[in-house]
Amino acid sequence: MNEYETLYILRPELSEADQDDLGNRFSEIIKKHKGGVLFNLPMGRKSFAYPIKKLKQGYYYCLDYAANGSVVKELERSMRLDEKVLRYLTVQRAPDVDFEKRLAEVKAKGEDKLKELSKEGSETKLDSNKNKNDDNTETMEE
Amino acid sequence: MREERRRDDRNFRDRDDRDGGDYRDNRDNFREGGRDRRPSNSYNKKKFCRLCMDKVEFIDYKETRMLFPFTSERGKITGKRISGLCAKHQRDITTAIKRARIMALLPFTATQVPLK
Repeated sequence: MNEYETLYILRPELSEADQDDLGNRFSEIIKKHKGGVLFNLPMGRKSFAYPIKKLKQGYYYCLDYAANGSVVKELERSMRLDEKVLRYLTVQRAPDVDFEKRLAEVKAKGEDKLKELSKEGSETKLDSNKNKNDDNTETMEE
Repeated sequence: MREERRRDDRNFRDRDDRDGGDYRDNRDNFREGGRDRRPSNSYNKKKFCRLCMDKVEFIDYKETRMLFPFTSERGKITGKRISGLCAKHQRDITTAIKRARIMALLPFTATQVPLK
């Protein structure tokens, strides 16, 4: 079992329920293959450094899990097929991890929570999002 | 402009020397260009890797605040000479920036219109 981290971006127009649904689906895939989810952290709605599919923003999610390599293949396949996922990137965080131990460690260190610095950033962005959102839809219609 | 011209002059002289200028010419060149041109302060100061001093072991590509200082105005990754990092940390920073670019956390180029 290795620890992997998959960062994925969802389309900005998705409702919270949709986002949760997708998160649950990905977690189920991992569980089905005898892996364990460490955390699925919403990083908030962020603006891109460059447009992706003509979109300016997206919801970032950070999914950490301990599993075998074959799970990554399966997970990435389902992300590729789903059009709600704009982009994903999987990175191996550590080789040969014990799930239970790691889970306790994550909770102790608070890795499943946003760090203060990044939290502030996302909050300020969230505030100004409403106006941006309107702009977004307008440009899309054009 | 002037600087360029001077450099050109020097090159010209260098070439001359190679073609068989005498020893004295060579020595003059050595004094004017080359090492003596550097201010003595910066020459002796040794740069230390910032990340080594902070004992950073893992660089997270999601933390753009940390990566941003290692990019130029145009979004390029700064070289080791400018960033002053050791080889290991420069390598780590480079891969982190490249990953951040893939996930649209950092721009590939500054010419891409900034999003508002």
